[in-house]
Amino acid sequence: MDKKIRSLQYGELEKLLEGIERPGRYVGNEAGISSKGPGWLADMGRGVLVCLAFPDIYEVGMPNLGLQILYDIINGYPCFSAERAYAPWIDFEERLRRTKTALFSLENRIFLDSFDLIGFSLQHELLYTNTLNMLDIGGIEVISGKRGPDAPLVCAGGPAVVNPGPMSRFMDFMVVGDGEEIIIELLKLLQKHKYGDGNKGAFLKDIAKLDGVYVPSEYRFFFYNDGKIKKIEPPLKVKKAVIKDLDSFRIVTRPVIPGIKTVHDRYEVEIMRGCPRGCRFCQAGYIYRPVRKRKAEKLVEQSIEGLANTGYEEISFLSLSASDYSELDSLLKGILEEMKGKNLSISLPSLRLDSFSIGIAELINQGRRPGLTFAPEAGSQRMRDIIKKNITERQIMECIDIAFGSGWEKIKLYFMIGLPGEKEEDILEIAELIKRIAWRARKAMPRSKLKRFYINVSINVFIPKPFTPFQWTAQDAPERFEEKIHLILKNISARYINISWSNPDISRIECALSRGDIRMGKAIEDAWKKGARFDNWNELFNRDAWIDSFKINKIPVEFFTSRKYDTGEILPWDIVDIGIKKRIFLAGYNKALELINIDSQIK
Amino acid sequence: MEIKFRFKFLKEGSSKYLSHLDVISVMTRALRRAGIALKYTEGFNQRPKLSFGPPVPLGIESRAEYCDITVVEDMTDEEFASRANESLIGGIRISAVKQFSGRPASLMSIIDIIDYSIYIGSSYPGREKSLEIIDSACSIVDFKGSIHDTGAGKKSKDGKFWVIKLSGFAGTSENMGMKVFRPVQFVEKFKEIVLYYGLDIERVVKEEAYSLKEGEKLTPFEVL
Repeated sequence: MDKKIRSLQYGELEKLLEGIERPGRYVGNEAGISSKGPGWLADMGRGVLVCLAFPDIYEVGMPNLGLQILYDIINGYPCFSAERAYAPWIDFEERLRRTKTALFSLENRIFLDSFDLIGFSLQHELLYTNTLNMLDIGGIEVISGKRGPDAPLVCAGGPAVVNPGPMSRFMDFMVVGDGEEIIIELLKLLQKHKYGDGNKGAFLKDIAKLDGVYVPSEYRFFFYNDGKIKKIEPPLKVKKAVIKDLDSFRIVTRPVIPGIKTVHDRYEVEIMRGCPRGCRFCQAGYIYRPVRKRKAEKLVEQSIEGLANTGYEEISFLSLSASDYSELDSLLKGILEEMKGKNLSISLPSLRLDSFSIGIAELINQGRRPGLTFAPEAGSQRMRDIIKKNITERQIMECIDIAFGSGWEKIKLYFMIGLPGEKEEDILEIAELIKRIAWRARKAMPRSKLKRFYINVSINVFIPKPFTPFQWTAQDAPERFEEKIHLILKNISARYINISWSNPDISRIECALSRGDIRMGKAIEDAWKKGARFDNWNELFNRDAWIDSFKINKIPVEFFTSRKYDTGEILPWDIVDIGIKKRIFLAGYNKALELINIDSQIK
Repeated sequence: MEIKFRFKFLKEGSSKYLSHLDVISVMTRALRRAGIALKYTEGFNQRPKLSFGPPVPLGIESRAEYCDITVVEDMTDEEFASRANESLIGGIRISAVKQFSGRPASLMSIIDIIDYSIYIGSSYPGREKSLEIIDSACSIVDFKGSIHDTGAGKKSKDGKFWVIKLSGFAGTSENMGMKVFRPVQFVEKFKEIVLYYGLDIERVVKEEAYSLKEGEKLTPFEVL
């Protein structure tokens, strides 16, 4: 396991970057870097070198808080060092491949194959091909079984591995749940084996016993002829890793600060993990449970420290539902009091809109009026009941009245189509609701502002996800989505309403990947070999690569998308114990079905 | 209490890959980290009062970026520079500071001439040949009239490079009927020429910026 560390010289990097778009992505000239320097690397002692990899471009990956948390924790240990790597954009990939230069980390420009461990943060399934691509450009064999004893260990964590099946072909192990504690346990065991028996297999056997760790080579899947899973051996579930008390880990007060502009360029602070709401379509609403809150008092103190260390002018309080954070008021007032006169702006991305939160919005915006964001998700009350989105039209309208009466002029609405039990009336109701909101907002606004009024509507395609009550439901076919989008567009014509929607073909691939099993691995590999990468970028999405790949691997996409899974069948993700019993999901599913049926009986 | 500083800073090494907009936020955050109380503009969208001179294009290093700033606390020139430098990222460093008062013309509007050094990866090729190379570069149609002064160049101190200095007209020159010098495009064309002679460009550095006053070249500090 011990080997020489190779890296790229700065002069060579300069030559590689000639004519490359946004070269700042690749140079790592950032404040807040905490990985160890060249001196440590030259004489590591019993050191372990980790690469935290994010399979999207720098601007998208940098704001990811999970990666910053792990980076901060690992680099707090004298014997461990973590560096970062992001996916190169296509121009730089081409340059690296043409010059036969391996992908390298940002800090010390270490080639990926020189690390002991590479850990990918997988935020969604459409990053799978980028993951293979980064390994490949990094000079690492993508299939775990083919990697030699000197190759780095490769692992992944994040919401796109709660169903570990599809990436099992490529990962030595995957981590399900909170990473804060498990990462250090893993690194200590890695250190023991690296400087002990030097045996990767022995290391994997050791960590397979830990909560949160899934080692694919320890499991075997058996299938029926119809494609369903017959059994999983051994039948032991991997229990999600959970930290009990968020406050036992301080927030990151010295994050890495990007030199170039990123998608969310601000100081990010997690105030609560988990969501108490349980909307039936929402995976995040279940997999991050239990709900754990940080204390406002500590948050104020630590955030002030972080703001002083970073110099950021904006702080963003992250959670899945800020309105459910009980100490929101004292948190905001505490921060505003401490930062008086220091030009701080605050953002609360997950604020649920109601009359109370408009007050909060006014408090944090202090006169400014950015756009309001609102997610009714469905147009009809019937549909909102089915998905358990607990908001009524009356609440929405009250909120619109207050907001537009007190200076707001822009709003963004989120809807979802293809939900279980959805009928044409429900789609038409989306268009009607948008129009009613527009009418109500325009009525509440001062006339002088009418010219500036604007609604952005974002329509997403429903994807049934593992560990939700809707995990068994079928996804609509792409043609159906197109009809539904068309129906909404046909019924809305106002120039101040701008509608955008997600690509149904991409959502279909995402659905197949998220509900897939170990057989999906070969299809991911072949799609990547045929050129698929950056699958969530509309202009780069390579539909043919995926369709060809499914075809040659004899994987019927419908089996994982348009098929309603049996509630009795073994699900690919049954291997993971997410902390919520299957009967809870089933109860939610049955409740939804009941609501769907009641309605059809009345009609 | 308000103090106005004009400061000069370096943008060297990999910081040359930051765009001007990036430099604005890198500088602002560094000054905030340093705990320097900055004066902000009024209104809803409050920005710190930073006003930069014409920025060096992305990809070129600089030893002469300029910026004016207003702080709302009492401090000396040296204190301002040392506190800021402790917080700045690699490659960006404040090299000189001067306090001023009143409302002088903006940096953007006074810079008429910018000097560059081009380091060519070879020792001096001889006077005749070097003049030939420079002549062919300066006669590229696109740049005619935008470069007003250049020499055959000389060896760098360590003897590793042949350094050419040239002065180009900056944005203000358009008003005087001159053509603006575009260093990035120039280097691209010039590279072709030096490659033809078997040489290569190693480094391009913006050396100094000047204001022209009655035919005299004055630095942004000298005009204050």
